[in-house]
Amino acid sequence: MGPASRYAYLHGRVSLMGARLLSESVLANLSQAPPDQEAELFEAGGLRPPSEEPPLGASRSLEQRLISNLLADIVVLTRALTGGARDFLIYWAYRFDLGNLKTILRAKLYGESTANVREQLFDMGPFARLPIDELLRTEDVTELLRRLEGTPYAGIARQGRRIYDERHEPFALDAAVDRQYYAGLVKRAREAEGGGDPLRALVGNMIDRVNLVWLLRYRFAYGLPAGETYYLLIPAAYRLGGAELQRLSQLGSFEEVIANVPPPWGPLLEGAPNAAEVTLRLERDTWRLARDVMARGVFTTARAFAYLILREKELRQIRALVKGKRLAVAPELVREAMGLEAA
Amino acid sequence: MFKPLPMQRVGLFVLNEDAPLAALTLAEQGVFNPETTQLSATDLPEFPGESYRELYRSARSRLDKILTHCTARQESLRLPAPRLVSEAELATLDEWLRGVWAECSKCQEALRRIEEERKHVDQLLRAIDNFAALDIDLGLLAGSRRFIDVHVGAVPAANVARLREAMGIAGYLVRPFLEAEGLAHLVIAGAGGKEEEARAVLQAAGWRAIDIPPELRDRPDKARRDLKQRLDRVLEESDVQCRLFENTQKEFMDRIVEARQVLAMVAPYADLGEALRARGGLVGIAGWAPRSDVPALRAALERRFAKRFVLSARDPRPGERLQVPSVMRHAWFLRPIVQLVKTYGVPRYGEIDPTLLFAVTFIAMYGMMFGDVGHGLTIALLGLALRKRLRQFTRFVVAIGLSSASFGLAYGSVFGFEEWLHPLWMSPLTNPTRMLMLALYWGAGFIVLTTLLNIRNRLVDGDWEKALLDRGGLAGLLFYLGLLFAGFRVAAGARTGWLEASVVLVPYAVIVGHIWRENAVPLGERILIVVIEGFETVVKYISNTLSFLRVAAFSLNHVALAIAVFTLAGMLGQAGHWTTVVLGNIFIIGFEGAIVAIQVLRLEYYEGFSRFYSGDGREFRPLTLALGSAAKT
Repeated sequence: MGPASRYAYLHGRVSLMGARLLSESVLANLSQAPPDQEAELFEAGGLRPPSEEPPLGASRSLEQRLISNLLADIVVLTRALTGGARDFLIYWAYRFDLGNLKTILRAKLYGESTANVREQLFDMGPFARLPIDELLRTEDVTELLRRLEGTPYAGIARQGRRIYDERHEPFALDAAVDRQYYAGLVKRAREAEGGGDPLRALVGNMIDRVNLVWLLRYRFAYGLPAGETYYLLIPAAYRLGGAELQRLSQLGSFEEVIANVPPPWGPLLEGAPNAAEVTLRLERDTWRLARDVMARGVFTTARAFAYLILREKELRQIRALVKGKRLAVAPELVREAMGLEAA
Repeated sequence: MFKPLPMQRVGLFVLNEDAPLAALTLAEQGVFNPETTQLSATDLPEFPGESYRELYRSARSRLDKILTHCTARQESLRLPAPRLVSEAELATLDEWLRGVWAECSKCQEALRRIEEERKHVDQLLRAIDNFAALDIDLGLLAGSRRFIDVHVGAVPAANVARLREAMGIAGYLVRPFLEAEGLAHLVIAGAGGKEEEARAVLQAAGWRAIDIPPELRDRPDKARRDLKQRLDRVLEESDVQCRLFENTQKEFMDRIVEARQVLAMVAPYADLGEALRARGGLVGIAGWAPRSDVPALRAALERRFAKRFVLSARDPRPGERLQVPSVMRHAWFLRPIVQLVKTYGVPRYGEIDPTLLFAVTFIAMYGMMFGDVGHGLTIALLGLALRKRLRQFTRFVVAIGLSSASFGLAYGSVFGFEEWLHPLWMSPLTNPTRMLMLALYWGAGFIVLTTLLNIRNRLVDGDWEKALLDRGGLAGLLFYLGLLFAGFRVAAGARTGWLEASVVLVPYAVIVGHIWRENAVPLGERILIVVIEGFETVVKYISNTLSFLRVAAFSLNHVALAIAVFTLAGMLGQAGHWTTVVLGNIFIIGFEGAIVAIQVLRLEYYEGFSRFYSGDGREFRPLTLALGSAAKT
């Protein structure tokens, strides 16, 4: 496949896949749809209706299927990409692999049984890089980190080990893993993006969002000092640069931080009562940006990434919907859990 | 030899307490492949032995980890007489293995820490000069001070920039003074009062503090000497730890050997997995065994259980064909070929096993394309010389070498010299057209044979439509033969007419009609598919036949390459001449020999296997008694 045919393939693929995404209004209707109309709408999302799903809590089959759907999309999109752009999208898929790693780490810290942990893990299909069986067979965190040093996650293992030696805390390990992952994502995004690329805007929006939410959580939910909070943020400079994050880290209260967040998030976050609301508002902003890129973007990596962001959003919303319907939760609460704007 | 052995579905019912012994008996025979989906969940709803299996998995995993790091030799390791292992014995063994692995793991962790310490001290030694160069009173660095908080240590170099900014928030200054092996050595200082915050940031950054020798400022030589002594102590500690590790292994070795033997006895019952189901005191085990081995299996069970078992065996039902594992038993000389066949896939049960066809045609085609007595014998001798490395492939390499030498006799070629030996047949370059025609006949014969095999395989599948009407079926074969007939008539200059047209067009119409029938899609799309696939049918048969021209082309190429070598050699003096001849022959054997092997493999897989061999069968994985890792059922 030459560059032109690759471009045409990817552009066509993203447009076709994007056209299948469910709009906000369809999702809103879905949350209120009577059972006899659900089947069609679920099919539109590439899923079986909730009535055909296995019982809640029996397994992670729903989550697994949602992730498998997303990974299948990534496989299709990466087929036409090469070099940095391909690495970037594949790295994006590794988030779920790291989710597995964190699950195993927590299990080792709390002494959970191997069978229990195995049930919680996601099948990463072609993106599996963790030697899951070997890691599950380790006796403790130290052995696990030692074993991890022989995998592509050696960097994370080394950082994790130093931190674990100092502080035997799950939080410290989780934070180190996440921070390393996002630092890697930023690095790969830089290699994939061109000048004035919408990919930079998308990744920047996401990194700024994660940093702001982490800052609020670390400072005011976990009570970490300003310096440590700042250190644990993702080392990347987009709209929220180092100086800005340092300034915000030193503020004394949640409200003060919200009041001092620079534009464009300042007005967006005005009156946000907690970190969950901040997350939701910022996520909506990311989705809006992704829709913009999908609608008018021409550079295919950014469009492909925008599609993946929106597809993941859609799958999360469907998951919330399925769970809400199974538990017979009121439609308003389901809408809220789906992150839909108030009617 | 031509197809996998006939199999039977075997169902064994025994008493619950006899199940482990039954598994052991089945494993001893080595002919029973457990099947996980055969027994009804309603009739036999329980999965017995779950805790036993869990214990086995845990013990096996610990033993495997220990063995991975075990350098001590395990001589004369043999399987003892089969015996039952109780759950209590297994639990004790698992617990013991846990302890041994904890010891090994501790040793490994200690070695890792010692290695880190060695690097640390090593870097400290290199840092002494840098300490001296720091324009601060080093007395301040050693020990704590009331109004100033000073830290000296190292972090991963990648963390320095972030650490500097984060420490800046707490009012600290960061100054690097050495960077080596991915670690940055820093002095960090700030006003007192924010020690906790500083410590938290340092911990998050993976900080490792460095003790400053108090005498560094006044007596740097002593500091250096002390550090060297510390390094010696570290190295000594490393030796001690290594010896401890080895001693630990030696101390436990006898018991580890015994553990391997015990787990080998436990493995069959544990490996049965979901093939083992129960209700009350009755256990059912289901699976597959070669029909010819079922009587021996029954006799073994009778010897062990007398009449306390029920064994049923029946032939596979039509719908079960894809579930039946394929057993391929071949003579010793065909075993390396089986590996090459399996690279493509395992034959479906009942499907033709292409091993013999592959062996004969591969060896023959290699000889045809690379015919030279000298080169062939060299390959055969190389195969023998490298037999330890090639193992079972030795026979295969020797066979292709001898084939090459035999065709070399026919071509009259020895190391490219065409005049040393009178050809039994002819040199390829004397009549290239004849060589090409023979290659075409060979290709046509190969394609006819593989199409016949495909028809037979589809008939065994019960797919009559594909066997008769498909382009790879009887219609395809008649179309191809018609094409060959018409082609030869045209080439011979004979008058062609309705006979030639009808032998081509009638079967072609059947093929096209079949494509039309099996594609029930909208009309436009249907027409498009029929046109494209119909065209592809013609092109594929012609191109596949022409593809065999490479058999002749390579035999010509072989001579041409030798001529090129001799031409070059002819331009040089005596020494240069023979050097060029020798190097040229080495090049021909190494380079052309490898290319020919790849080309033959391509012909086998693409022009041969793809026509008749689905290769999607299930490999036969019998329960066995072995000392290796856990088998996967």
